[in-house]
Amino acid sequence: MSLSLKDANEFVLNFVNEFRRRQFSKYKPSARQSISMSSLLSTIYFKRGRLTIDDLIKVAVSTTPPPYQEEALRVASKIVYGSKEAKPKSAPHIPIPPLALPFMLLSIPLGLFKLANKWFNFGKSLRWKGASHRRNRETKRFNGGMSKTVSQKAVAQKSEIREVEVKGRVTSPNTDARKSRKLALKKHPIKSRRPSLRSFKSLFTSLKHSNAESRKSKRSLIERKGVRRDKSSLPSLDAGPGENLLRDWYELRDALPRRAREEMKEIVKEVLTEWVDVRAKSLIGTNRVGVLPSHVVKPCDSHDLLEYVDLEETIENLLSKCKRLTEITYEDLMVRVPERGNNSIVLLLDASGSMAGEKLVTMATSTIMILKVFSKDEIALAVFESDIFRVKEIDERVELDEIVDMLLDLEPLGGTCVSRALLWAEEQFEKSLSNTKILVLLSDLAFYDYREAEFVLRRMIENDVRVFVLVPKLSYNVIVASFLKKLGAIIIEAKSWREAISLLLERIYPCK
Amino acid sequence: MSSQSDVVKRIEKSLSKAKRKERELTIVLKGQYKEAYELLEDSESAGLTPAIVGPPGVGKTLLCRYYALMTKRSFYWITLDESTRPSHLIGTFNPAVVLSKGWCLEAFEPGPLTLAMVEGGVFVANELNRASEYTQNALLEPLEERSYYIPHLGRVVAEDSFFFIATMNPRELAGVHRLSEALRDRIHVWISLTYPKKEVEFEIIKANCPEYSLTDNILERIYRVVYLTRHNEQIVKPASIRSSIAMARLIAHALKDDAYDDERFVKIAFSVLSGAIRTKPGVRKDLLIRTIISEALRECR
Repeated sequence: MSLSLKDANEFVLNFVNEFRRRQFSKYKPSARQSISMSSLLSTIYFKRGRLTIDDLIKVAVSTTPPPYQEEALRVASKIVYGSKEAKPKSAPHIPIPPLALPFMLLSIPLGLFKLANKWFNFGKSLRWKGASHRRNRETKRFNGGMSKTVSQKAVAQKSEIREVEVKGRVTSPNTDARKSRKLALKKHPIKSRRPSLRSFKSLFTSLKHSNAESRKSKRSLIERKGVRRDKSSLPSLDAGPGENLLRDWYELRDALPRRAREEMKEIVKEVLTEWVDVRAKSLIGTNRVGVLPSHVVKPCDSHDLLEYVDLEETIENLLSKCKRLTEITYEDLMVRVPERGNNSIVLLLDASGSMAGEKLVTMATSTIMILKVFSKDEIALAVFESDIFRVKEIDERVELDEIVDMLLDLEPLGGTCVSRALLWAEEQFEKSLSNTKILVLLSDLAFYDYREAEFVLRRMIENDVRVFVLVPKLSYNVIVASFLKKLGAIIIEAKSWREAISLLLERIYPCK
Repeated sequence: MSSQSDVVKRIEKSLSKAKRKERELTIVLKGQYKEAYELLEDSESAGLTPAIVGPPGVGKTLLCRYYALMTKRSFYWITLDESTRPSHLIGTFNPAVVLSKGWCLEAFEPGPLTLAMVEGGVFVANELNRASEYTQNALLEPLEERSYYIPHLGRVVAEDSFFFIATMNPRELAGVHRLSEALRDRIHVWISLTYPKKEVEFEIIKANCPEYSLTDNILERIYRVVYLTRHNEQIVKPASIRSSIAMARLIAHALKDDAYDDERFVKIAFSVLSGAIRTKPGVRKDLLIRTIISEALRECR
């Protein structure tokens, strides 16, 4: 079936409007996208002399950035076919099993009767879906979603939905009502069903103070309702509860059902990343991205790129040497080259059982903050308990998102075997060409292989590695700390992440 | 030791050879590649900027090169990373010439983007999302206005046939940045390339091993191994088509006239995969590779 350009333009408008209306979509198509879609569709039309429905969907998807392409496919399909499926041909259409009806009539035992009935309803609902595809295709191809009658049905069933919400289960056995409810939920998918982040937080709080039984019922409530990604409530978390949210996350994540857990994790990640961004700026300022200047001026050598030549410095250099233009050599040119890897920092995180609770929260926050503050330096990161888990090697590039993800999944358990982690850190320093080598150990020092660790640590300190140990205030092994101090390590006792970072920066750059 | 003139001659020879080679491309234009090529054509006709998104080694750059070749235009490309600066794209002033002659056109050494703009060629910004935001922002003007202001010289306007293509890796891959909102909005068409279907990958392998005769039996085993790496949750960066080609060439060369044997296959597959894949932290790569190979062989038996 060939479509006209008018149909195509109507589709573009519907697509953009529908996408923009999606409440929980992070992506909103811009005016540029609608222009791109129209131009692309016109090109295809004039080139091939016709436009198909597939072309519309292809253009809608390909003009949307990749993370949102699946969503674009859903929106486009919904507009074109009036359903969420990509193609009506592939939509499941299961006819009523031929034996179902006689079986239903004949079966006397109640159990068998129920089973047949269920089967019958299942087939019927799917058949109804197929019919809806066809109906929508024929009559409301470009109506941008649901027809008026369907929307009215949805409004009519709103009170019923509320009832469903309160009771938490489907109450009406009426099939028609169920159909309408499904449609209404499609129209108001999450708004009508899911609580906001704020209410989720209150659920969190109530979960904390509840006993096992009520916790179980609340858990099922969360499972049913899910979490709403309410952007408007995010800034409120910035004023302090950001850290509390992380604490709540560590404390209660195991009590959450899988779906809610995943959604909550995404929210915690988002809040944490934004929060760290703001806090890091308050520590290092907005003008600089790293803690050290990132360029150095030096005489040019043959390997330096000519675009790094700093003309002012070069002229000054030539004047000071009283050289003529004809006498200029490469060495007279002064280049301003970016200095990479000013510091090489190895972070070792203790994830043993003793680090659970508040210590884990402080450690996670401090780690993200350190990664942000030292983002222009070479950083390696590993987690250790009885074993060591390498997260980022010094010469590897890993996104902060990925590390935050790992930190949110961290489960403190097992013993504390630090010597292997120290050996790994030593390897990382060997790979680095930086002059300043810094080891930051975040631990409560409950080591059981201290003797082996002492040997490696001594060797590292002898090789000019500066060792900083961040310990939670009043909750660490004092004997091991005093041993480490004797070796030359600097112990930093901190109550909070802020204290930890500012003390660490003070010790690394005493002049700051 | 070669004399200076010898070196110059060799470089000249190599340059002309490279030019000849530019005209010889091996590409299998089927399936997703055909669709992507058509979308590139449509985007250019509609005056839109496309970006090809896909994991490393699926043939993004090759497709762009082929596009330039088919449309008979000059092809310029640059692979971006964090250290790439706008001057790498636009060009720089030669300080020695500036000191002697001032800020003149003679002192300006154009970069690939400027060259592509003035020649009306195809410019490919490879791995665009590895560039810093500073460099990404330098592309806004050429994309929006099809011109660029060069300090001291003035504005350079692109020829009508100038075509900008960006290629990038998916966001979930380590080491990539988020594209700035402004740049993302100026890229109008997003062409996704993934690992090709079995039949297409077979053809690609065969096209890249013209001197060897590869049986379907061997190809099936190779494909199974790379397929398993692409569907393993513990692998962050799976084996690409390049790895399949490398494996195929090595196996074909090692076997020559001998009959196929599993032991050799395992050795070769292991050595190729060791460098080709990247696992999640804490996963023992060697063990994982061996498991994958043995599973693939078991499935093919």
